[in-house]
Amino acid sequence: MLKYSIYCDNRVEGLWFKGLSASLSAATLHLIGGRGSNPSVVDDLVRYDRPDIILLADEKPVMVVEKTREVPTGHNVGQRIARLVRAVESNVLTIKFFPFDARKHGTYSGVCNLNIRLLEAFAAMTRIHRVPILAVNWPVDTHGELVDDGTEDDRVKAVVDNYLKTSHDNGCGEIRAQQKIMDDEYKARLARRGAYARPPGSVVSMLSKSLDGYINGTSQKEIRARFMSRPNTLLYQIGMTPENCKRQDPYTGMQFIYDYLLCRNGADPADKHTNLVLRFPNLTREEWYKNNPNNPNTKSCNWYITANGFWFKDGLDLLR
Amino acid sequence: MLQEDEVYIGAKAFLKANGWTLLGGQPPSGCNHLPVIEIKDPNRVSIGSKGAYKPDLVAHRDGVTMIVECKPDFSKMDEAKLLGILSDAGKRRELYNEMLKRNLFKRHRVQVGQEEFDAKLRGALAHSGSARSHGSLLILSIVDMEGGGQALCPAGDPVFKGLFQRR
Repeated sequence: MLKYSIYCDNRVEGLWFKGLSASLSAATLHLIGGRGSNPSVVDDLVRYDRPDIILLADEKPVMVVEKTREVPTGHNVGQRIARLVRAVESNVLTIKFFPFDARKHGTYSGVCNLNIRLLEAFAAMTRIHRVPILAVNWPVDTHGELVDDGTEDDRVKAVVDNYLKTSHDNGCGEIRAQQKIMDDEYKARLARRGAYARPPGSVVSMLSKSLDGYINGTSQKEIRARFMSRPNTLLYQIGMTPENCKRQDPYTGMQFIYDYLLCRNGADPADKHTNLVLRFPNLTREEWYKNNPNNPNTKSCNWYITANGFWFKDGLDLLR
Repeated sequence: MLQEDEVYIGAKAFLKANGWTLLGGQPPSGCNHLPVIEIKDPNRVSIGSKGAYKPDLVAHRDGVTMIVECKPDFSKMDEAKLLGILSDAGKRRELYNEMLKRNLFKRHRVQVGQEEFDAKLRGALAHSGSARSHGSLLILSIVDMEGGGQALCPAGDPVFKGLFQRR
């Protein structure tokens, strides 16, 4: 019999997850500690950021789950993505449980809807890494409030339970059914709002050769040649200012979404048909690097994971 | 002594076992099924959640609504926070309106008007430190995550009478 261990960001979510399947009734619960203090398989999965749940079976990671009440819309789309990317890069089944539509309260109360680029990015990640990353809807009532009577977990329970009972089969019936649900949602929402088929205004495509004159001299020759070998470059414009230039969310998450949607063709971040360049038109190199070092112990390292280059006011630095 | 999230889980289990309905709240970190309730500062100038107070738990039984703050041990800061809400008519109204907007009373078939809400709104501090009564706030002395513990009602407050009998 498999020995399950649940590593969780906090016990509230850990106990919730444990209740999703009878297969987990004997699972042990552990809090995810700081990097370096966990079993190496857990540390490896929290390298970019910390997910809510990591499930180990006989010390091997078999599932990562993220649960949130937030609808991925506006700036929320890119949040929490890096941790999920890390899971699929590690070939671990990944589930994000969140509302596709829900009421946001406040001065301008209204129902927010999922930005379906997320579903499209999940499909691309699944294709590229050959492991499912699933979006499971947290249902709402007729007023747009999240259901909280226990039935909200029905769908996520079905997926988790079926996966565990089929000895971790990524192609089990409920996973395939969930992928169909995601696909149908994507198509139905795209039909209602066709603009999602095109990149947003913050993303611009240009010829790589037109950037040649901006590349800083310190960039290595081979990296420059590889960059130029890709005819097109995607620029993701990031409006950070000198007063507010030490941050990650939502930009580092959004870069992954655009990367998988418009640049990537392989599992390694270097596997791209189109370069991805992060453009910081308001910042100098010095301002940016000082505030966002490539420190593996902080989320700041997420800036350096996949982009081919950073383009500042004073030049373009190539990374890979 | 329990950790904060253990006190939170234990307080939820204790209240449920004693017949209270959990209407909302927010765990110390992460999320759970309960809707988050925000009490915004009526004098705020900016939009958004900045400066808003989000109770750990809001529970209801027989006309009494209770805001619960959870910490490993007794917290002076939480005490001040709760007393600040309970003594401020504007914030009490804000809380009631937020709960109405989120349909929380209706969803749980709770019938309570603003007047009764105001008159019977109480505060509680849940912790795992030494079990002692404290001033006008209820103390939930939590001993485990399974619902073990006791409620220490403030002396001279009749509103809690019979509300901590296990159903």
